[in-house]
Amino acid sequence: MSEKKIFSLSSLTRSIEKVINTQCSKVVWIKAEIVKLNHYPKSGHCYPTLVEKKNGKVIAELRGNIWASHFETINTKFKSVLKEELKNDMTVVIQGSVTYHPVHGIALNIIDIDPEFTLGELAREKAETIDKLRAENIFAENKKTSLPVLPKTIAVISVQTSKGYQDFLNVIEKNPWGYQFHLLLFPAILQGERSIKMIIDQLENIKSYNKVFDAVAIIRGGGGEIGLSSFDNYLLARKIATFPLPVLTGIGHATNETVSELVSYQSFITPTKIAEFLLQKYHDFAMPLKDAEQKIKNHTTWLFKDHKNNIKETARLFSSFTQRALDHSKADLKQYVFQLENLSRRNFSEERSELLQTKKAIISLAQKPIKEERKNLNFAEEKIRMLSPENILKRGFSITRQNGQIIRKAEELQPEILLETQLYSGEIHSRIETINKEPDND
Amino acid sequence: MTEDIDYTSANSELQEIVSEMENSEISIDELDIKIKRASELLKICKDKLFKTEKSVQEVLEEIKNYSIGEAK
Repeated sequence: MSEKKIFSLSSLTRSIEKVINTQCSKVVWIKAEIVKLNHYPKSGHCYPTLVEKKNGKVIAELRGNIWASHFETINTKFKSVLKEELKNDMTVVIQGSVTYHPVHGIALNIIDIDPEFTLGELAREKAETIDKLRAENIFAENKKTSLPVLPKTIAVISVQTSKGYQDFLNVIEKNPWGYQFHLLLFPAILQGERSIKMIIDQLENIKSYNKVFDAVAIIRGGGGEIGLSSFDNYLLARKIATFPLPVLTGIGHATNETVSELVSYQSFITPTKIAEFLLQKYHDFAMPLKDAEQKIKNHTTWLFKDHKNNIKETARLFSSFTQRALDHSKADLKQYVFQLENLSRRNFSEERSELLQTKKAIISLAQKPIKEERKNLNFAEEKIRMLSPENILKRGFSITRQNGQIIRKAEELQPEILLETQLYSGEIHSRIETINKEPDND
Repeated sequence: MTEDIDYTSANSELQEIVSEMENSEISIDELDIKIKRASELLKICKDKLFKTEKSVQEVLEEIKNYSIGEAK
């Protein structure tokens, strides 16, 4: 076995350092993806993880260094060109050289990053997102949802302390017409990579109460124009596009609209504009209402006036009709009185003449039966007087009795018994000579 | 002898007596009684007739004095 030659680690690393520094120290442009930025705000240095992917698989990986001074410059450039800070998951074109450090190992020392390339890359990604949503036929889906005439209950995705949210609240709450809204804040960060998941999560949250809410408002503002590329994210844009409630966005920027805004129900330049839009909806509802109110008032007034006039007119007519009716009745009454007088006068005179006649009749007739009666009585008296036995005896007739018994027929006679004959004046007692029983006459 | 008999009854009884007398249906013995009765009846009738006549005359006098003129 031959003698082993053993080197110290530092002598090895020195050799590696020597090779790399002589062979690979050239400053070159490299395209890579920043998977993780690893920025340390204290020191200001950055140690990004750079990869290259093929079909989603990492095929190369290298650590990078961006020293604080460089990072400052690069980030400023990005912000002005891309409206984005340097961040994770960004494909960038880097200027730098490979360095080796005995302790930290091999790394790419980054001195510059070209923002123009990334800008193009972002635009491409944005276009891709749009194409994908269109291909899935969901790009205009949220615009098809219906916003109620009065959107009263709004789920707000925003940051409590952000200026945009405060602006929104100010406009809503201080509206001079006193329109009332029910706002519920679902807090989420609204810029940078982390915003995507948070917004999606909150949308999911709201979805479970979608019967309660009329609309969702995503409100951002005051954060400048940096970090908006997350709103071009496919997943977020898709979530918004397919959301069952109308999504209103007030992201607050002056550049091109993000995909999230394009697919939303309606997008507004600022949160204030969303607030104004909502108030306008109330207005649109309230104005015709107010008009109608006025119309009702006017019409009612008119109706009352009309009816009053009618009543007045009726009253006037009524009074004139009444007068006329009264006059007619009075005339009729007068006529009746006149007729009554005439008729009764006639009746009275008829009755009077009848009475007079009756009176005469009574006077003449009343005495007649008495006279007649008297005549009859006188007659009867005369007869009686004539027929009285005294008168008969006076005329020469006499009454013959035997033993007090009146004798009418000869056969009643007893020959031996004395006859007593009564005359008008005096009596005779005699004896029977002969009795002739034959009747002379009857 | 005052009897409570009305004029009509008295008169008809009187007429009966007269007719009986006319037809000689009354014996001499009865005659006396009948005549007396007739005389009574005659008196009653005459009285009643007289009273009635007087009363009628009075009433008629009253009637004559009724003025069937126009009411005041």
